[in-house]
Amino acid sequence: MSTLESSEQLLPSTDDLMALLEQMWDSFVSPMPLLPAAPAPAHDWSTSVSVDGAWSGRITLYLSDAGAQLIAGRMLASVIAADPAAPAALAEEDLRDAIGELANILGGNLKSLMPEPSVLSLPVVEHSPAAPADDAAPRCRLDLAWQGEPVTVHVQLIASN
Amino acid sequence: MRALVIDDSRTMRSILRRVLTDVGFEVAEAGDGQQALDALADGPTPAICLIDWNMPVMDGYTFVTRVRAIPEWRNITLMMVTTESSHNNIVKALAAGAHEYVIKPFTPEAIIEKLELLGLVRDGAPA
Repeated sequence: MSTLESSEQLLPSTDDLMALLEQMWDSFVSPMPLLPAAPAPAHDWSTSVSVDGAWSGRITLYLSDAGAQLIAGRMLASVIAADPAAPAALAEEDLRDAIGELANILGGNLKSLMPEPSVLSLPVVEHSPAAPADDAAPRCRLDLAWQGEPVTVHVQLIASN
Repeated sequence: MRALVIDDSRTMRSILRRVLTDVGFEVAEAGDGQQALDALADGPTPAICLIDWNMPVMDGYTFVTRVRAIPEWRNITLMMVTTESSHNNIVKALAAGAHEYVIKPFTPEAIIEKLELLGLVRDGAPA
């Protein structure tokens, strides 16, 4: 049995992951609920952070283009509302920053549920039509929808450095 | 009353700026601990710094230790606002001189409640 396979019990539960996601959504995105959904065939954006230490894993949030725009727009709603000169569509830089912060918050809170000590990476945001990795490493996954757009969360164990 | 928001995320700085300006603060921003130290050196001195932990260049914990090493800055209130929620790191930050610790995600009410506890806000305005 490999180290990763024997560590499967160290994955967060989907209930814990959902609770963290709902809390973050409620605070920064919208009180409108995330709903269970079928796995989306493709995504446009991924935003991830890694945790390295006594527990090592990667937490990735996958979003569609429309979903990422909607979510970042809600996070920055109060700012946009206060600026009459704000453009209708968010700049890509703002979108990347907003969804990167979501991965940071999700990863930081998840890290506190796992064995310590460990270190959280800075978020990495990528715009590419990639589906969640489906390799052999144990993982925890949530397939959800918000405002009709897919939201997939993927937690995967990685080999510690 | 002035506040300095220190976070590498523009989104998070904007969210905190909105919360603080709503209760009457004048807000400046910095993208990491080093930028924040430069802002403090340039003055004016804020009443409070809200500090993320996990940032490039200089993290929030290092910033707290640097500020606490400068006697002229001893009156600045330091509040961590971060996803870093391990018990050990919360204790470490408070021991280094942070006054309060807020874990993201937060509500505006949670930030204002901490500001009231610190005596910086009363009845929705700077005290």
